[in-house]
Order: sequence, then C-alpha cells, then structure tokens
Amino acid sequence: MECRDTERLIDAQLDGELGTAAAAELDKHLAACAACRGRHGPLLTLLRRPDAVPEPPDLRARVLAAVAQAANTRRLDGGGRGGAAMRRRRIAWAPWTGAVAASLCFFVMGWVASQWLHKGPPTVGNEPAAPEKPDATLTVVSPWIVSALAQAMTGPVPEVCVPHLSQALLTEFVAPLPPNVRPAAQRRPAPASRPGKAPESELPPRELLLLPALYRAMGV
Amino acid sequence: MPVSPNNLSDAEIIRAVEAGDGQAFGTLVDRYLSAVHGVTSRIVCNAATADDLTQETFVRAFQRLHLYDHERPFRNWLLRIATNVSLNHLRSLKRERVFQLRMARSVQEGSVDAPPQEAPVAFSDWNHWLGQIDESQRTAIVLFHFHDLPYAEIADVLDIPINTVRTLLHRGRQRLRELMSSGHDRENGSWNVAIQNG
Repeated sequence: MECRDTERLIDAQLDGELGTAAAAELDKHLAACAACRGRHGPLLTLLRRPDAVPEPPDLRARVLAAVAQAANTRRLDGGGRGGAAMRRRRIAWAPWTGAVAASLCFFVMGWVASQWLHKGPPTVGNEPAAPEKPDATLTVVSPWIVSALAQAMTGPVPEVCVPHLSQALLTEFVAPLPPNVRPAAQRRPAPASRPGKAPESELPPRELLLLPALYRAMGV
Repeated sequence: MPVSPNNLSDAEIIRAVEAGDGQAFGTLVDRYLSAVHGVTSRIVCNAATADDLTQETFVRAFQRLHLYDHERPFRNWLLRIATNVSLNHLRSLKRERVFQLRMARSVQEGSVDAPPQEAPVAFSDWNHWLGQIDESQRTAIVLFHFHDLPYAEIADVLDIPINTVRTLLHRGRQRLRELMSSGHDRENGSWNVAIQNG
C-alpha cells in the first residue's frame, strides 16, 4: 500500500465503506509509516475518539424549568390538558367551517346579483299577466354552487373552495336558464284559471328547486 | 404494577405528554440531553451559548411535539431542532465575525497589541479545531461522526442533496487534516479563536 492511497482509504473508512481486508491493510500501514501517522493520526483521533462534551451539573434542572414555564404559558393561552389533541381537532374542523361559510357567502352574493340582473318573468304572447300571488316565491339553488360546495368540503383547506365558488359565481351570471326558472327568489304569477293557454311554468310556488339544469334538460 | 417511565418507548412517552402528562417529558430530557448538548456545543463551539441553545431546543421540541412524525426516530427529530437552533445562532453572529476579523487583521498589522502567546493546542480539543472550519462542513461532520446520523437525515436537516453532504464531509475532513497537521491556526481562522475566548 502506498502513502498516496492513505487519505482515500481513511475517508472510505470514516464513511463506513471500507472492507475488512482493506481496513487491516490501512491500519498496518499507519502503524509502520510515521509520516502518514503524523498527517492523518490527529484527524482520526478527533473523529473516532472525541472527548466528551463537559455538561454543567445544573443543565438538566434549567432545561426542565424552561419546559415547565413553556407548559404554563401554553396553559394560560388556552392549550391546557390535552391541548395538542384539542388543537388538532380544531385544525381538522377549520377547513370544513371555512368552506361552508365561504359557500354560503358566495350563494348569497349570487342570489343578490341575480336579483339585480334578471328582472320579471317572461311574457307569453298577449296573455295578460295574472295577478301575482304576494306569497309565491321560487328560490333556485344553482347547481354550480352545490357542486362547488361539495368540492370545497372534500378539499383539505378552505382555499380550495375559492376557485370553485368563483367559477360558480361567474357561471351564475353568464349561464342561460330556461325562462320559467330564475336563479333568484322572485314573485311568480299564479297559474292561469281561465281556459286557454296554460302558463308555461307548472312549477308550484314556494318550492326550492335544487337542480334547475335538470329541468332544463327535461325541457320544462 | 406501575411501569417505570424509563421502560417506556419514546412514542409512549410522547403520547403521555400530549395527553397532558408534563412530567413525562422529563424522561425524554434525561435520555437525549447529552446528545443535544453535544450537537449544540460542537456546532457553535461556545460552552455558555451551547447551554442556552440546549435549553431552547427542548423548549421548542415541547412546543412542537404535535408536529413530530411518529414514523421517524425521535432522536433524529430532536437533533434536527438542535442543529437548526445552532445554525440560526451562528448566522446571527455574522456581523460580529466581520468585526472580529478586522480586529485580528489589526493585530497582524501591528496596529494593536498582540495577545499573549497561546499554549499549544492538544489534538483532542475538538472545540478548537471544529471552530476553524466552515459551519456547513462542521455541522455535517458533527452530525455524521459524533451523532451517527445517516446521509439522508443530514441532507434533510441542512436541506441539501445527499451528494452535497458527502462533499461537505470530504472537504471538512480535508480542512481539518490540513489544520491539524500544520499544528497552528491559519490566518483566516484566528477570528474564531477570538470569538471563543471572548
């Protein structure tokens, strides 16, 4: 074995990658070669047999006191017994709460906006409009909102619901709906009592339609 | 028959702490105090600072126990905190290091009185030699050689690729070899000695 190989073999040995036979060869060379021993010996001593770090006798007590103080601080802040588990439960519920709150907020915004955009029921020919029943209301929940809410509730964080609900709101504005279905609560005329053409919409008043798109597909 | 806390595994002790048994954390302190103190001491190379950082390590570990991944060894997670705390402390000393370097240069130029000649340093004085190499190399050497952390864990702690860990170890050893075989402090390492003695 040559002196020029010593450094490489020592590195391999320190990395735990030197075989038994090569390690024996290396030890034999170091025992015989004063120059290599002088160059590599101190490093081997430092890394293989390091001196213990002196530890102050009061270090343990100081550490425990600091931890106890941290525990008291956490208790005062509302952590308390089992605080970590309670925080985890609160964190687990946070996305759901946020998603539901955001979905409801977007639904209300869409409803208000639709009230502003869609005005009045369609007229059918020259038939005079029947007197409005003051209590007849029809509220439609957009399928986009329902879909976004469902996706938000399955998402890991509340932020997931934002793009879905943004899409829902946009679709609420631009998607066409059949004339007898309005994405808003509004007063609907009472069904015509005289003979003749029946009103287009046979939908009863005060009904919550959850799937107006379904009615559209059915041609209602 | 009550079970001695020393017979409990780390995971069982951690569950007890999370359930509200604050005393149980003392068992973890007893188990890992030496290892944590060893890491902080050898990385910052200052005894008083190392004691404070050891304390800070355990407080952080207690406060973040809910973030501990039970699939991984608790010891490695704790040493990771100790390493980060130590490296953050070293980074905060950078301005002071520049100042100390200027002081060391003034001494060499003769404008300031030189300190008394230091006694020869024994080769087993790891505090002295480790303090003279780059902090990344020092951290890799401390974690690998003194605390038996594998390459992957060291790479994770330092947020570097595994190959970089090998490079840091190789260069760190090379630097130590040069310093120790020459038998005296290098010019660009003298400011480290000034900090340690300050």
